[in-house]
Amino acid sequence: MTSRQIRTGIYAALLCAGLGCGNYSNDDVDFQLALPDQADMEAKLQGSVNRADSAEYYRATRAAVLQFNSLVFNLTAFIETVRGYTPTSRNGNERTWGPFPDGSHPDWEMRVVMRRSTESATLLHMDYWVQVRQIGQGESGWASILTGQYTSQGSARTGDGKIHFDVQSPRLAGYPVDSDPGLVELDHLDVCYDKSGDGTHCAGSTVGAAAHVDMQITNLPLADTRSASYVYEVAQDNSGHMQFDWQGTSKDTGLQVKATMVSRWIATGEGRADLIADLTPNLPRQTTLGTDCWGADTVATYSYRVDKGVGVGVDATVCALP
Amino acid sequence: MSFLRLVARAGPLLALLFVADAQAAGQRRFALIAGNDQGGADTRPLRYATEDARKMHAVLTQVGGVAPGDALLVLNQSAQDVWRSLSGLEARIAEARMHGDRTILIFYFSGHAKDGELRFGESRLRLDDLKARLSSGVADIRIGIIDSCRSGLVNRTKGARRAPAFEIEAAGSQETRGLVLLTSASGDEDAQESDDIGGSYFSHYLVSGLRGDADRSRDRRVSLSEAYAYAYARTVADTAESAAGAQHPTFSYDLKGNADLVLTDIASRREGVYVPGDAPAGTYYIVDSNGFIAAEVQKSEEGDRQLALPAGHYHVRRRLADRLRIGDLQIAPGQVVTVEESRLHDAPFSDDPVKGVPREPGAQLSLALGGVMQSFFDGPTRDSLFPPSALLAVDFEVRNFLRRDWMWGFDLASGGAKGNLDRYGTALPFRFSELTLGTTIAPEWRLGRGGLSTFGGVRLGFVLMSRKFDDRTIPDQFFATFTPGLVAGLRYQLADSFVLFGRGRVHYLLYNIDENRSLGYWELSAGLAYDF
Repeated sequence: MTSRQIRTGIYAALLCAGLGCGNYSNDDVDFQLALPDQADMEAKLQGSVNRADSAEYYRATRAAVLQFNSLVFNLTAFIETVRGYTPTSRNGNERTWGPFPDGSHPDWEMRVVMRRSTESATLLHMDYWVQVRQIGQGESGWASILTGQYTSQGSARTGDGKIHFDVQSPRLAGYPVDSDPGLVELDHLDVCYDKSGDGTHCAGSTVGAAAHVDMQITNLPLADTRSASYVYEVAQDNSGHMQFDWQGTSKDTGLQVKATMVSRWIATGEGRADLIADLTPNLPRQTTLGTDCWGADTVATYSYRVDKGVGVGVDATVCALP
Repeated sequence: MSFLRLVARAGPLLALLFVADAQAAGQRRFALIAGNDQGGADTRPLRYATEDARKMHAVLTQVGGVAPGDALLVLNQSAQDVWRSLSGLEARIAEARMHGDRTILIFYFSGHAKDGELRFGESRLRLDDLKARLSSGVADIRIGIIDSCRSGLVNRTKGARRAPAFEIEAAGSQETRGLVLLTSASGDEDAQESDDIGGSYFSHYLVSGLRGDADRSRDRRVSLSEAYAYAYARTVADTAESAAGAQHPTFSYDLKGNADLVLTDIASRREGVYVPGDAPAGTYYIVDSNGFIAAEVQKSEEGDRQLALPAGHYHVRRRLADRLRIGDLQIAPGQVVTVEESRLHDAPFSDDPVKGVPREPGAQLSLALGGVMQSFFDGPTRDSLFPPSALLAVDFEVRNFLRRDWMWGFDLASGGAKGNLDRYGTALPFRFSELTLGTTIAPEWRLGRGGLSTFGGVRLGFVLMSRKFDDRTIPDQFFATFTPGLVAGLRYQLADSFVLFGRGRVHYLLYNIDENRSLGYWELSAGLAYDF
């Protein structure tokens, strides 16, 4: 470090101290509390065990949970970068981080804007946007790639939120979304999460659920997978379920397929998964293609496939869940 | 003309004078005793002016025949206040005269004087005005005693003497009337203070003489001329070798009548110290429990000495060529204690209350360690932003560097506390840490002659405050800024080098992260300092 740099540092420190500087802020904490944490949305499969002789549908459920958590991780990674930094500007109930250079796209920059609505001492509502724009453009050039909102329910840490991840609007604005292979077919993605404990803030959630997260993925019209959705929910007694819906075109038959796997488990780790498909016109609508039940060790206690019949066990009465 | 020759010459005259009894029926004495350590611009504060006034007040009310209700002690007040006090006292004197009492007014001042004016802080009183006021005063006898630099200017006119004894050549009525002025220094000299005796030379010896050591006639009474002669001789002797040069008290009088005036009656107060005639000759220092010399006895080969001193614990010290003789004295109320040589013991000179030239205290360094409690005034700030904290502090101080009796200090403190932030029903515990740096400038004042002193001044601090949340998803936060404040406190000298201190600070802090907010906080601290 040169003496000039040292002098500059000293002057900067004195200026900072003279004017008062830092990030010591109670208000900033509100904004940080409102940002969704990965742990808020990730799914947890009760008694998750990875063994070779686990039931086939248990392994499929586990794979779905991992894929779901991977999506959650990628989504929250956008926001996590903000959490560790002091806002670039504070304006009443609004905080802005950035603009920062977009590391993947040199001609673009991004920012995060959060706006707080302090409706009462116990209710915190926050809206936030992750936006991109081409360097040199004005304020109107910002396009939102992620829009979110959060409302506290009882405490700042327990609430519900919604995230709308829209890649089509930035794509149309020229933002090189498709340079990421994982986003080539994506149109938009919506997440609703509810960790309030009452399970009433997301459509389709169970009243009284300890946590609920659903994720709706909508791809571009020509994609093989037209849409997919995950619904994860866990009850107060640690029982839970994960429902994975998939709709698209079968590569084998070229037909439109709509399939649903519903996995349910109880606190002991015992569980059941049913694969239901709508393979019209070859099969009647809502045909159960298979069922697996497993014990706490994840090994199948009952297995049924529509084309093979019962493979394990005698009947479904051995299953922990009906 | 030597002192002894002058005294010898004055002696027969004094013998002819009627020695008025201070307690004689029909006589009433009044005293206005003023002291002011401050002299305003272009002067340095005095250390002992108010203390000298207290000592004079004590001796006049104890053995000077002045009833406590007739003695006004005016400390660190303005010239106007003193003037008003004098008017009030004169009204009472006039009333006493109407009742047929003979009256005596003693005006004493210890403080700064410059350019012909007495200084009372920023206010001033012309010496000529004071002299005129005393000259035309209503009391039968007015005695002015002025202990300040160049105070002899007041005596440059009629009757001024720079000599060790009165040579009163009054005649006529037995009832003396008129004015006597005593000053501690001549018109071109400084009046000097001494840290060793804890006062100005002149006032110290005047008080010591009035307590009995000036009683050359051995009649247990000290007359004005005896007291002056004693104070003159001792002041000149002790200041002769000083850097400022010898200090010569002066006197003048304009009296009608032929009575010398008894200022103190030692016999009236049966409380003090008695040095018998067979005690060894020499200087006996009577040192009070605070280590200051309360009085001195110049014991000659022949004759005894008695000093009037209030009850209390004292030390007696007598210097020999190679050692000291020291001992303890406990004067009980109403008791005169005899100094017995057999009860003194030898001690090294390191125990000597060294007397000599006045010292200009040099820069003094001290290092202090203490604990600090800090808290913001604003409740919400205290509860959720900057919680009350405990800090450990190290102070480095230098005294008498910027100017005499001023302290310049630097301090470093570190500490913290546990806090809790509640946001929308969510409790967020955090660990609060603080580092402070500061510099303080504060004048200090001694309180009495004990080891107690007080100080008050300004401080500029730098604070670095940070917090870590237990919830690690919330990033660490910090805030740094300068913060001005006021400081005041007390210091108590425990021993030669150790000082116990306590202080309070009030600071302003501009918090400007969420919004601009003017905040204040206080600090209380206590600790131990070591003076190098």
